[in-house]
Order: sequence, then C-alpha cells, then structure tokens
Amino acid sequence: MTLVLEFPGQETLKLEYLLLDVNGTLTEGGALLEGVGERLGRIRGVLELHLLSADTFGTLTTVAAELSAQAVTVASGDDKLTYLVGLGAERCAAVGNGANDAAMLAASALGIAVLGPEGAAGTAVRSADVVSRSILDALDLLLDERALVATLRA
Amino acid sequence: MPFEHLLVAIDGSEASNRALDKALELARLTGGRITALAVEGPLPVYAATIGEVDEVKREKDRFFGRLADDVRRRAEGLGLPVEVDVRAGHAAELITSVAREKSVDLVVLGHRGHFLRDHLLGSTADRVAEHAECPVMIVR
Repeated sequence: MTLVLEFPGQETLKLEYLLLDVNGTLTEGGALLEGVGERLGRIRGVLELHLLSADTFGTLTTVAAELSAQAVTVASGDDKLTYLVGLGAERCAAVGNGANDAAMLAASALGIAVLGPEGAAGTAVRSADVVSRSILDALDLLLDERALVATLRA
Repeated sequence: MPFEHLLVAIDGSEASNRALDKALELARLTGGRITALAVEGPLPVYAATIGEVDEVKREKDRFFGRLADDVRRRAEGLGLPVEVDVRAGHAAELITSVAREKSVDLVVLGHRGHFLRDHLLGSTADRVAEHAECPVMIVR
C-alpha cells in the first residue's frame, strides 16, 4: 500500500504509514469523534494506520480495534519521534495537535496539524506542513491527492 | 538508532504470528535485531499423576521447540538476527521485565494470545503497555 504524491518540480512522496495522535486529535474524552472512523476506513486501503498515544483514558486498544489500526503506547514526544524514525520518516504521514506531536510532525514526510476540540499547540502548528481546521478536514485532504498537492506545491 | 533491539512476545497464536510478522518488518526496515520471548504458563493442576505431568511437560517442550524453530526459520529467511528466549512465568510480568533487562527499544505483541487470564484480568497487551518503560506496539 502506497500513497504517491507528485509535486511539480519537487520530490515525490511515497507514503506507506499514517501515524495518528489519539487524544484531542481522533477522540474527545476517550471517544472517537464522529466521521473519523468512516474516513480512516477508506484511508486504511492506502496507508497502514498506527495510533500513538500515552493512553491517558485507557481506551487505546478499544479505539485501535474499532479502526483496525496498530496501537502504540508511548510516554513522550521523543517516543513518537523515535517510532516515526523507526518506520522511516520518509514513508510516513503524521497527524496531531499537541506539543508532544511537534517533533513527529516536523520529521515526517507529511505533517498535518489539526485544530481539535482542545485546540492545537503552537509548536505543533509551526512544525507541520499543513494545518487543517479539523481532523475531518485533515483526513479528507489525505483522501484527495489533488487538493493536497494544490496546498503543498511550491 | 531507533528500534535497534525489538522484543516480540510469541505463543503460536494467530495474533502472535501477526506480531512476529510486524516485528520482522520493522527490523528489516531499520536493520534491528529481535528477541522473541515465549512464555510457558504453569503446568495444569488437573494433571493428577506424575506420569500425566511428565507427558504434559514433554508436550509443552515439543510445542515450544517447534515455535522456536519456526521463528528462527522465518527470521533467518529474511537475513535477520534473532534470539529465542523461552521462560516460565506470568506473561505480562515476564514481557515487562525482559524488556527492561535487555533494554529493548520497542515491545511488539498481539492484541490477544492463548492465555486464559487475558480474559479474566484484562489483556496481557494492556498490562504490558501500562508497565513497560519503552513504546509498546499492539498489533492487529
């Protein structure tokens, strides 16, 4: 599974993995935000989903089961970055809203910061390639290559 | 280097086979090495005679021998170094303590295994994720 993004005059991105922050990005109070499951179900056909979370609400494995995603418990932003580098940053898109997502967003081939119900950390926004108004907008962007290329082309 | 050393828990279940596949994939991406940990549970208390206990023990040894051979074959087929470690004890506690003892970078395990206790006390995966000092990947 690969999502190929070709930018005129720029390096082509070949993405295989989508790393997602969970709390504040995909969920509110531990429950999946409406519309997220359906969109990730479609993205799963193109990118392998990895949920990265400190699992504050103890719901990570349940959410991962609902999304047929790999669940990765991490303690810090450094852990998220390490995991991203382990998979190969050039193969990864990442989505998040917290300060502990900033390093992952900066290092990934495609980093998307989202303004969730809990807002977004300034460092996450500054580290991203794209900022979306919501997680649904971010996932829609990943499902629409032309829109993504239009946003990111130089 | 990230993922220099991965620990994968194996018990021969379908979920643990998927975890092993994922660990092999990650190790191949990063050039890391793998320790595969198989956890032997206690001998069944219902085995009434010494003969029955011996037979159960022999069957267990055969099972873990086959499991270890299978892991080595799959890893060596990909040119990846692997160490198979078979230990007896409580799954979540052993996985957590071996991860600490070997200073691994990532623990990989299936979302459920063969352990009956998984259904009684919350899953092994959840308990390892809670107590491990490194990232824990729960594979689906």
